Amino acid sequence: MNTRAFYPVIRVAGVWIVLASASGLQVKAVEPARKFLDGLRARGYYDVALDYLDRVGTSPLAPVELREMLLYEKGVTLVQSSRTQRDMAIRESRLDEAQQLLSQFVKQHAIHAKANDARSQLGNLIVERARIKVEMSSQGDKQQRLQEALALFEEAFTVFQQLKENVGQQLERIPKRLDEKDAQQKKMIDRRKQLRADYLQAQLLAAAIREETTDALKAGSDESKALLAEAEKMYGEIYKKYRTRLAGLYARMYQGRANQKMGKHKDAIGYFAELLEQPDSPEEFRSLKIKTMRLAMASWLASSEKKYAEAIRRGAPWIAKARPTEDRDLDWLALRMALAKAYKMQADATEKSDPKDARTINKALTESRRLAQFVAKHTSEFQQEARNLVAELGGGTTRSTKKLDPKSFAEAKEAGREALDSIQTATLIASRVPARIAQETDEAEKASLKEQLGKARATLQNAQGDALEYFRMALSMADGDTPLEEVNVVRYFLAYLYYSEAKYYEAALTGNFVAHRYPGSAGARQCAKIAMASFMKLHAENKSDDKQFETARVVDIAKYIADRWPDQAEAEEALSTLVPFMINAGQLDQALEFVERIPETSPKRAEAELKTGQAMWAVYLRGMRDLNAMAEPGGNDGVNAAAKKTELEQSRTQAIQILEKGLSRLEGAAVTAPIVTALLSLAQAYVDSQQADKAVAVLEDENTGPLTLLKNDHPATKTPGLAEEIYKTALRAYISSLATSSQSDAVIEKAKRVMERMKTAIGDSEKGKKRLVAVYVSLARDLESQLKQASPKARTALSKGFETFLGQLSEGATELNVLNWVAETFLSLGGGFETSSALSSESKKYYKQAAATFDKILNQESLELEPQMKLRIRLRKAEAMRRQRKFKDALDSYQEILSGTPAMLNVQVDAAMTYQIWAGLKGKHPLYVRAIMGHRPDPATKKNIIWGWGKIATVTAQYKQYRDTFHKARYNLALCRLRHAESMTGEKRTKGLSDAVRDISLTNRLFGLGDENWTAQYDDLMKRIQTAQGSKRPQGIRALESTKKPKK
Amino acid sequence: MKQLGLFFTLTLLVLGSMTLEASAQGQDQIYPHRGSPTTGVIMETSTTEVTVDVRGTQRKIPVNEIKRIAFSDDTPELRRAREDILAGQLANGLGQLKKIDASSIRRDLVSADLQYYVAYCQGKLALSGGGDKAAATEAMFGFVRQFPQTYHFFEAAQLLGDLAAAQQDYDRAVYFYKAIGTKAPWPDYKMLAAVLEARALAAQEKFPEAKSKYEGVMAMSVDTPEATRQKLLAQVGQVVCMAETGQHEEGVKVLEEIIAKNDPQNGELFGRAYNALGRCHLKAQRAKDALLAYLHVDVLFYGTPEVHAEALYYLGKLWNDLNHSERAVNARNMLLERYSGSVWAKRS
Repeated sequence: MNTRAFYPVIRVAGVWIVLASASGLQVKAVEPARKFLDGLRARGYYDVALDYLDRVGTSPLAPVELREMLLYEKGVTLVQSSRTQRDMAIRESRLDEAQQLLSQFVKQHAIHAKANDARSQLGNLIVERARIKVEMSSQGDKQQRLQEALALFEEAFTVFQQLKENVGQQLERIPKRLDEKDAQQKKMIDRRKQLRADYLQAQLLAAAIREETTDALKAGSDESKALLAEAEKMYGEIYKKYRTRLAGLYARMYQGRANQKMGKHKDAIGYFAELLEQPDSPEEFRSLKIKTMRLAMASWLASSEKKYAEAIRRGAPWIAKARPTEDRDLDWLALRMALAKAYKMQADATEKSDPKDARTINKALTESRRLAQFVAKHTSEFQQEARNLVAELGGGTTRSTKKLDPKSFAEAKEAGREALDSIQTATLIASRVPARIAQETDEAEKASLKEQLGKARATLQNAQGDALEYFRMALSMADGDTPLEEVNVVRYFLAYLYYSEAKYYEAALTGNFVAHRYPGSAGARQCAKIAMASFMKLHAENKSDDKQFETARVVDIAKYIADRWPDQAEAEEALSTLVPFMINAGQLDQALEFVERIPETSPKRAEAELKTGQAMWAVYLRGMRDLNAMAEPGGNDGVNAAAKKTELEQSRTQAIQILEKGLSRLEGAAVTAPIVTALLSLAQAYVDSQQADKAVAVLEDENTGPLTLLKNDHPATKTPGLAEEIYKTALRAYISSLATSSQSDAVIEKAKRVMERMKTAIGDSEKGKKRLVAVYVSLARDLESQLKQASPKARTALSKGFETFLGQLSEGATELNVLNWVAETFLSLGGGFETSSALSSESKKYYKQAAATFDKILNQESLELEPQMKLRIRLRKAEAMRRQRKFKDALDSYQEILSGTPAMLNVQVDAAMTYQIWAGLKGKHPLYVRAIMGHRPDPATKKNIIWGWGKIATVTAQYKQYRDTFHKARYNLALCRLRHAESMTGEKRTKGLSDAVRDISLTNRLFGLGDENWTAQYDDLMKRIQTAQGSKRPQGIRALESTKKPKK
Repeated sequence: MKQLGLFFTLTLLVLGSMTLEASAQGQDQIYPHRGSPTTGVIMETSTTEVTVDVRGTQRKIPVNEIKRIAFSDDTPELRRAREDILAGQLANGLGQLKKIDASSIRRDLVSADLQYYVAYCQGKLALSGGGDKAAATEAMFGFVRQFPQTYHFFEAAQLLGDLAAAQQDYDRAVYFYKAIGTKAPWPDYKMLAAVLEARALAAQEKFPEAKSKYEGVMAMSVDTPEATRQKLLAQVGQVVCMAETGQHEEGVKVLEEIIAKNDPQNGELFGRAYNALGRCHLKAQRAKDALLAYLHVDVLFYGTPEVHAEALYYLGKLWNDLNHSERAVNARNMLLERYSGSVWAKRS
């Protein structure tokens, strides 16, 4: 229950106290001017009320009393009008203006009868500001805004307490005995009446603030309960003192409401019942009773009470009493809604207890539907709830399918809105009624439901188009006199409808127009949001490579939103929407810029940081993969690897920082899958940056550690593939931490446990086993990459840790996946110590251990290796031999494998590469010819078993799927020619270089130079050849154009 | 007109002479507009008075002093319906009346009352909510034909006139209103009849004739509270004629005086006065002043459907003129929903 809805009543009660405090419950007639003003304000016609007040100064019809209070009344009107404003800035400015007017009134009329009331209003202003904070808390920065609200409520409470004391002192100064016949004393009597009313009002408002303060607290918290109890007590005391006055009765009602909020419905009902016994007249009593009825209905229908019969018995006659002008008032709509719910409860209960009593059930449902339909037709806070109930009960939409013929802007706009409203109800019906039809056993009711469903579907089919048409008509009918605000509202609806109909260009255009041209209008922010969403849709829909237009538009509108409304929730939303968008577009710097513009206190900030951090981490991983590929033999060694590595390391550091920041903001938050993924990325980044201990700490954290969560089978770890990654990262972290750990045995035990758990998780089936092998192989690659990136000192320490672990692990190991991993990791360890020059002793040692372990696998019969696996292990062994520079042994292995199956392309590539590397050693350059032409002829066919780059290229040229292998072969062929030529002099050198150029030229002419990556590599190679040919300004592949010319 | 002729012939034939069978048991209660009720047995009724036997003494109570009568043998539904109707809850009242089995009522007076209230509800609802005015006219006409000595005669005649006016059959309306003026012995009733006639004339834009009729009322030398009220209503009506004939500024002065000097509890008078003020401002092309005047009716003096309907009609136009199209639509919707039977709804 919202206390705010009752605040004006307190104020009204206060006014009444002034008028009737001396005469008990007698109510004097109120002059129409004030009633009129109240009526205008009650209808929300604040502009007219202010206009009226401007005219009061000169109008002969206005009472003098009102003329004296213009400043006060204008202030009150502005306070009330501020509540209707959704724009917080405008709301604040109205409160500022109101504050100025009320302060001016107090200053000018310090002893005026209404001076204390004006002071109350100034206190009320503080309450209004607190309410703004409470409302804004739902848009982010919750805790801080609620704290600010609490402070403001406390300030307002103090104001009213002080006011009460001041008024009390003023009352004290008035003599107790006064003679009404004496003119002077009569004035003092009137003053006393007013002061007593002010005193009572200050008490009531203080209690109400205590009650409303709970809006800024967690419902049901001890603090909230204590405040409600305090308010309840304060109201009770006021009632005791003033029970014969209307304000006293209001205090009683609020006392009931405080009980209701505490869940003490029985006590609350007792108080409400007491008030409902009061007569309906005078008018002020009727007003009190309808408010009481509204509260009483809530208590009767509370889940602990379920007194729907009582609610119907008491509520139905009230609805019958509604005056024609009252039926749209909020209290009456609330009462109707509550009664609709009571009838629904009655129908449900009867259905359960006496399903044969169809008469009662149908009557109750009919009444419920009728009441809900009424509420659903009128704009109020209950409209959506009523629509839901109508849909649940199968109530039809009231919209006629007949086309309207609006004659003015207003009519067209209204017709459009009606069509739009009908969509909402029809959507609900279309989603809910089918289930009811399926369950319904009464044929007649079933038929009726089907009819309603048919109508709803027809509405859905037509209403959107109708709405669009009417709004377009409205725009065409708008003229110079049509208020701009209204035209912009129509534009907003149009933007929304265009978006709903996937007409994103139109939606973006309309939304963008309002947002830029009329940023101060009510729907501007919404329009901006629609525009941004539309541009993003357009971006997603554009399947071409050129998305420059859409990207620029998204960035523009998001920046505009963030710049134009920096303090509003829309800005945060725009920025946080933009961050993943920029990440996907690969523009991480911009993403980071936007992240930093999201307020640090916003929950969206952490979310955006995690996304950006992960994206940066992904960039690092991709970069490292490319860098490693380039470092491989035959890779593009012309790229500045060191610079690239430094750049990537910066990216990694940035990823770690931003992930750390984002995660620190989420302390205490519920663990979700994105958070686990972010934590995993952070742990991986720590491992890669030689901070294994930090990685272990992250992974093992007892609350959020991914390893802990996995152990506890937490739902956030259920993302496919996530478990494997966590285990892999944990293993890397443990193994890496061995380098610095003083308790290596314990760490190794942990690593072994992780291996066991990973094995259990992946499964013991054949498929599972293969998977496990693959996982370990990729783990070995990761370790190799890690070693390569480490500094020489760290590399040595790490390798020792790895070696210790692998040594322990391989002892007595009989499982393929473990042995294979050990072998692969030794191979990787060797790779980690590779340098561009001679083979280091560490590399040699580890390669040897790898070859030995591969041999162990091949010789262990119990493993019963499948042919494919056996072949794979043989190849890996050959690789280990090659890396030891035992080229002959390696080539023997390749020859053996290729003898039966020469078409194994990958093996042919490895064999050719082996010759190429071998040829690179001092004095071995003639082997480049073998790398190109192949070798090891088959004694029977005389054809070379090892093909060399030339044949590999020829064989793969015609197959699109082998295009990458083809370019690898053509590129290396040309490279081999270059290196071979470089080893020679004179004509042979010149010819060799020309052959190299011809190879690239021919490739270009016949097949093109492949993708961007290959083209760059060919270009680089071409420049090297041109340099070798003596060119001082090598042109690279640009020179190929000229080589084409003679052919033409 | 043949029907009308028969209606009044019958009325004259039996005027004041019909004796009704008294209730054998229980006491009837006659509630006056002011003061305590008279309890006794109603012996007979005429269009102008009700004769009641109060402990053996016969007393004649003028109809213009009677607010309502509760018969000793009223069914509970009839009693409740009467209360609802007097409180303005016409639909509820009609609902109660429909529950009554008319054949079970033995006393003619009660039967007549039932029939009257049914016709009354139908007529009033047709005037506001847009029911069938012809059917309502027929029902009320049928009632008067069947019970020509009914003490509801003048109310019935006024409703018949209102129904005719709502159908823009002003001649017929004037005919019924005139019947009140000629048949009622009380000056305030004659004044009421004249005011109603004048309004019908004004509705036909016969402003000079209407003005002269109003002046006739204002010149009458009767000072009862009701007569004073009728004079004030006539004065307000006269201002409307002034506004329509170019004297709107003078009209504003008259109205401001009426508003300043009278009790706003008199809702109909104030409603009509603010509507007239709105009309004057409109004629003077002061849209904002006109708006404020009509808003007074919508916010404060909305109790008389015809008056509220007029205000809503002009509010719909003024809100539009003042660029508040949403409020304009709301006012028009309210007019159409609530007073679809009124002439103002037809005009919109």
